[in-house]
Amino acid sequence: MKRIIYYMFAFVLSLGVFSSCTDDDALDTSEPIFGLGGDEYEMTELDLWIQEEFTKPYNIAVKYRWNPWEVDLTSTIVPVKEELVQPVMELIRDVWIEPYKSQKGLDFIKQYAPKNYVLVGSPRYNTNGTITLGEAEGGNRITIYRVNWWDPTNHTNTDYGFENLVPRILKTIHHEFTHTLNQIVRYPESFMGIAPYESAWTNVSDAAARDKGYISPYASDSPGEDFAEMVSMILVYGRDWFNARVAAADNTVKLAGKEITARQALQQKETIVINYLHDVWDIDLYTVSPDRPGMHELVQTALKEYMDNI
Amino acid sequence: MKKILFLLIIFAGIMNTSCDYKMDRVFDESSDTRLQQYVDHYTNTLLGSPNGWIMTIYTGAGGVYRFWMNFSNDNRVVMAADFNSTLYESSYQIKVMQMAMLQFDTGSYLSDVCDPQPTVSGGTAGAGQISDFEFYFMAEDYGEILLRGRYNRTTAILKPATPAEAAVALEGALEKARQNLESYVGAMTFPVIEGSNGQKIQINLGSRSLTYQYIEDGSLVEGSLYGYADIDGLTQNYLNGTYYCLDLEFDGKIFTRFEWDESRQLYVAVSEDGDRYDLYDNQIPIYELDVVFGAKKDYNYFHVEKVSLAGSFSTEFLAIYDDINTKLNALSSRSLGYLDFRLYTNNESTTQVVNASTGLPMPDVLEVTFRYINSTGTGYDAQWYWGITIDAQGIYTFSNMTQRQPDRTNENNTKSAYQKAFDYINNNRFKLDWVVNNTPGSSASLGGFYVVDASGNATNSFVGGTLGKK
Repeated sequence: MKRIIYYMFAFVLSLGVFSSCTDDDALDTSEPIFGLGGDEYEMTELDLWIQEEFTKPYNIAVKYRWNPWEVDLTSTIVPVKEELVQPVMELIRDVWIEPYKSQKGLDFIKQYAPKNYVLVGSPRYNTNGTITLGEAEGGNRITIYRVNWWDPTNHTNTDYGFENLVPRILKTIHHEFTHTLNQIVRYPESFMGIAPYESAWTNVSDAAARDKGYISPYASDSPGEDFAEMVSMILVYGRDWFNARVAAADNTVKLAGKEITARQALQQKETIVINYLHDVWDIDLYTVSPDRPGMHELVQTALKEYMDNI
Repeated sequence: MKKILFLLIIFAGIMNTSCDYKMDRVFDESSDTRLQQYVDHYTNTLLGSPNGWIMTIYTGAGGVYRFWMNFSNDNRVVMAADFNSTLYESSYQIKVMQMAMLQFDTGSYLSDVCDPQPTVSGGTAGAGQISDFEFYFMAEDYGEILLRGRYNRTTAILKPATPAEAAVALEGALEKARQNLESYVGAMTFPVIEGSNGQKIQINLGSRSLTYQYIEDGSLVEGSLYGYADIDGLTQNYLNGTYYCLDLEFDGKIFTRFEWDESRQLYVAVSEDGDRYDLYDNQIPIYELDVVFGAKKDYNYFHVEKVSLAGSFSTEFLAIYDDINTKLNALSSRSLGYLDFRLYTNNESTTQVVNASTGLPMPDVLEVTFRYINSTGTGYDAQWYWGITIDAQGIYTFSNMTQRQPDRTNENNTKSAYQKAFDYINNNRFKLDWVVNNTPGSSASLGGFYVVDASGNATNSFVGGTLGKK
């Protein structure tokens, strides 16, 4: 008897299941789905310029229109002024893309360059009292903050108590791209043991950082930042600037019982950077053969040209 | 058994009917269609004002910012601000997220106000003026649009501009109205309106907010409200625009605006019921001086210096001041630098002030400092103390004059020069009150002691100066 009930039960259930979910209607596609394909804008001259200079040749998107989900939902930050987008992106094109392209070719840029540039008008204030000027995310997106400080008519503008924006932005770009390269092939282990890192770099003065064998206070944060600061600052501020810093650093650094001078620490790091770029990426930091200018020379020449033309 | 069968049959019935695919829409249109309709509606509304819009933002930091803006159908907007009249073009977008939203999505005057760097628009670092450049559409009412900021929840109102408003806004009227208001109110030291019972409220009309203060139950009440000078009915001097504020309560009435009276060149506060109160310069604060002046109060001394207070002396004390100076001059070419009149309770002082005749500490003390300058330009202080008694009418009497350092030549050598000041203090009774500042170019708050007559009324004779704390 029980068995009969089970059979009946199963039969009734199957009836329900089979009959309940028949759907012969086709999906109604007569109306377009709202917002599909993203926001729609009338293309401006700036949009066309970005398309010609970045999107078509390098598959790079330059996002300057405000999208809070692209940046940060919890900080007070403001969008960039349109007239500043082109001069900033020209700087990036001429003094970052072109030198790498010249050494490594177009495919290198296409393959490794971050695909999204996000420009923001103001800096981002952090809870530890610092402000953020640039960010890189997974080698895909670079965010440049504080672009509204750019004054196209005055590139020695120090009204805000900070140095010129040109090297600042450029340093950020080169710094973040070094992170990208490091994410693909990590810098050598030996780089990490040269000097001790700080727990709070914001409390380290420039001179104190130098005397501990760092190229900048931020470099004392971690080996990754140290490496990116080394590459970006040598490229943007120049070899002469770096050598002067090395000469000024004569303090002794102690690490794990070893004692070296801050000068030696900086020189050792420089050597590791040169070797890493050459061995891993076939990039010459400094000119090795006359027919192939080094990245440093390419960046410095391009920067000078850029500055002369504004 | 029957029960089970019965339940099974019911169950089968439910299963068979549960997946009925007939769909009844709550709304007539699909959600996509309705979203598009919202975008179209707000786009058409913004484009539909032929003279553009006046936008008024009430920021989180307590100020009002005003803009004129004109939208075009290619995502472009042109605007002028009350802090910058140069027309600026930027981008905008109407989006529908959870609600329909107006986004000024590239840098503009709106985002300048939001900038977290105080160097741009003031405010605090990291927050700026606590304003917005992305707004939700909240409501529409008689052509006006109410907006609410996405990030800081600021309130903003878009109002269609009249042809006259657009015309003057294009000439920079928003900025001019603000500047002219500032220079008009800047000329008044203590602007007040007076209530029916004689009570006064001080109202400083600011270009972004008004501040007010009045006395309630003996203590000072202060506050601020959103406020701004409008550009309606502008003339060449742009000052006869109405000043709007948010609900100022005074004298049992609610004031929402100040109208410019062109013939009398002043603002008149107008209540919701149409009562009109003149805003005039009271010249002195609305509260008694002793609310802020006295031992352990905001101010505890006044500084009497002829050079910095020309025009604000009484005739009597000016003569005494000059007499001291003349006599100091006769004493080895010294001169009078200034006098300080300070009130304190004896236990505040590290030096115990003792009554010379009784040998007991004096409880409340007037300290008068005579700063004289010697022939080489070095300053010295000579100081005397008086005990204080205050009667029920608030009249001060100073007694038991005591020299601070009887053994010092500072005081002994110059003592004779101060005799007229000693007499003035010893032989009169005084009332504490404000002193009208008549010194050109000075807006300092002045207070002092007025000599009272036999019936206790203040006379024109007073010693007064700039209020300070030491």
